[in-house]
Amino acid sequence: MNDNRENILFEKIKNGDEAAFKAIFDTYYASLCHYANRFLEDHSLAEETVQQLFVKIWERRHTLKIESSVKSYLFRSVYNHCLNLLEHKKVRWQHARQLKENFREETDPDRFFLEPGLAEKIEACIEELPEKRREIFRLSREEGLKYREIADQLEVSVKTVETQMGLALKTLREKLRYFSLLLFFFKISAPRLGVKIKSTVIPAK
Amino acid sequence: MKDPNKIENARWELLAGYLTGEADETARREVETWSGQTGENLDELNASRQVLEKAGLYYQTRPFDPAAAWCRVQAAIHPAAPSESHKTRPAIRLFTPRLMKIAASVVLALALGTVGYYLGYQQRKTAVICEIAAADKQVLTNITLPDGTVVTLNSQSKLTHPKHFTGDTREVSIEGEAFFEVKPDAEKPFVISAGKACIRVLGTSFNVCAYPETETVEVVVATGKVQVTSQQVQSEGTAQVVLDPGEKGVLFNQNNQLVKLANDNPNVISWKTRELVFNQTPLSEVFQNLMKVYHIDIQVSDPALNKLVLTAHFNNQSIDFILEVIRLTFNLELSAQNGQYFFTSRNM
Repeated sequence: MNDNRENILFEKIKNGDEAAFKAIFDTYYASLCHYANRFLEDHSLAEETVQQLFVKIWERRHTLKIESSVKSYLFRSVYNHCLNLLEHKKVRWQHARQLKENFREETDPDRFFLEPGLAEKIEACIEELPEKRREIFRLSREEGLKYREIADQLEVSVKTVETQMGLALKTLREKLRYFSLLLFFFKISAPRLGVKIKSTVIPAK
Repeated sequence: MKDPNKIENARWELLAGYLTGEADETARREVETWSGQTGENLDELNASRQVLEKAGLYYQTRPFDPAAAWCRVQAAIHPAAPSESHKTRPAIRLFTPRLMKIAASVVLALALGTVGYYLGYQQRKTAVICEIAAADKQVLTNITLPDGTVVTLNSQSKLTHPKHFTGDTREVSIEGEAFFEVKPDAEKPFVISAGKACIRVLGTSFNVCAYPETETVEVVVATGKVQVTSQQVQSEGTAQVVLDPGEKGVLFNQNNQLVKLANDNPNVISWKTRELVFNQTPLSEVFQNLMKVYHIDIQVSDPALNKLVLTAHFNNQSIDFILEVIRLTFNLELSAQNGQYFFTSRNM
């Protein structure tokens, strides 16, 4: 359903519809940057790479071909772009190989894609958490700190961190119930139902 | 599914510990046993995992700003992006009101419908200018500027603002119509360049109508105080007016005359609220309002119909409902074709 909507947007892009292009851009930009950043470990390089990718997509819009879904196409392109970049520049070649290996198992776009509208919902939930709980949750989810490290940093007990993390999860689950049910449903019921689009060259206006 | 409210806090603690990799052997086994007991438990575990993953993604994607990035991508995909001379000019200087206008028109001409562009691609620290444009028959609501000011943009209108407000003032420009709810900041006045008018406020809400094709720039104040000045130096007439709520400032483009009037039109922001008040209002004016708010076309068969007067209050009703009320009130015939409505009198 969602895939189909996006593939229709993609057809519009091929016809030079900039609004459709922007819709795809807005949906995926931040997620793709985050994904690229996992390879490049450089925020601005990641942004530049993703922006270049979109420029390239627009320039080649007439001959683009999407075999599966827009989502997997974009993530796959970013993946290739990043590896090319690392290999081409011979920057930390060893590192690139290492990442290539690591990411072979971690290329599922769903693990990197934040659905449109979900960021705002999560933000609203997090905003509502009491200050201390919010900070504990942030340190865990944003900085990836262990409970022990969070406890040391905030000068609280590990038990407190445990309790607060449990309560934060409870709040998020309750407030995002509808959304996560929906996501979950899609994940199990619509495995890669990409609509195939034939490649047709459409003359420019 | 079992209501998660019923799952006691200890369960959540256990789940969070398990999903963040903090659980010890005993706790891990406990969660795995629990999740293996029923399908519902397993669903809960998976849904919780997903929530934590998505929350992580929220934090990881937060630093990336699609709006600013879109400006750059747009600049790159439009061959007629800003010229070289503009690129090298520090972007911040464009925001002096006079240059703003020149720059805006140059960019408009060059970019041919570009809704955003990025200046100083090579120099990272220069200001990023964003343009937001509402298309035909489109109203963009709740545009939040970097300072927290909220703007509603009427159709075929364009708002230009820097990504960050630096300097002593918050400067934006508007072409077309917009309603501003300016975030109060006594230290940094909010300055709007609107056609030939310059509007300066501290924290207030008001409507600006400055479509290039109309003969006036009109500012109607809802709350607070608003100062309107003409951007052009003039020899005669008032150079500035200060407006209070309920007052209207009108700048006539042709002779640069600036006047202050009482606002007698209750429907100034109906395009935003869809609340319409008519008090002994001639149908011609009623139709003008409806056409503006609902982006439709209304025609009458007989000019005499325009002279009928209507007293009514509509609050966010559908256009079909409103037209039906008018039809019944005056006993008219109504037909619709291709988005065009046509009123004819019955007794003709």
